[in-house]
Amino acid sequence: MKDWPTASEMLVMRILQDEPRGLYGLQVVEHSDGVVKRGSVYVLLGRLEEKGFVRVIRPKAETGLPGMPRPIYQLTGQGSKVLAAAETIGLSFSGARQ
Amino acid sequence: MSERPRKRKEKRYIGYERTCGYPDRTLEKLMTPDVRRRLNEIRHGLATTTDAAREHQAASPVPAPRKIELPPAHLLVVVSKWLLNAEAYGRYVEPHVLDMRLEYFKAIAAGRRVQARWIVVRGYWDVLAPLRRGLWITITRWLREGYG
Repeated sequence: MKDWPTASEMLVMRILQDEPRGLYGLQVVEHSDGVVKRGSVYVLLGRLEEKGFVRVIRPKAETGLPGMPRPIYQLTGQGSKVLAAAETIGLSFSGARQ
Repeated sequence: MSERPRKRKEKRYIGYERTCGYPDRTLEKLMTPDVRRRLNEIRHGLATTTDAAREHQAASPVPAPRKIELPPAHLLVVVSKWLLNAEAYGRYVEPHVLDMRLEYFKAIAAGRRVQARWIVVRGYWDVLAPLRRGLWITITRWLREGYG
């Protein structure tokens, strides 16, 4: 299937599943324990957004921080379904924080 | 029958600045050099109205000129916006730049200038992958829309 996420994308989705309020890109890097690199995190998140598994929230401002607010990434309902299906068929998520 | 000379086009635009907010360059062309210099002094806040004020200004120390620093990755943003379409830029490159700037300014605020430099260097290195992906998306979309 063309839209089925890759192993790295699955890992990112798994991390996002644990945080229903969403995460910044750098928080995804921290939660992945070094598996997802800074250079690749936005590529993975962008791909997931294109596939419809992740939604991007752009807040108006970040509390206590100047400048443009950073986007927050949340798992969509479709993303949750894909994760559930992957767990059902026994795909493992190596590297994700338990 | 001699044709009546037409009015110069610029004259119609005198006062344009007041209504539209654009600098009225045509008005400046009509001014003598002295008047133009005086106008520039007023614009830059250098003009003084009275002799006393002029003397006071001469006696007071000249403020050091301020250096306006551009944020880190300014060039990267300009080049990326030129290379990529808006969607690819916003999805792949912009979040990366925002992270880099946030970390940079945090380091600057903490007085760690070396670390700030390192954040910029690392940021330029890390942005290569998102930039490549953005370029790929931009080119494929362009080809699809152009030939599809």
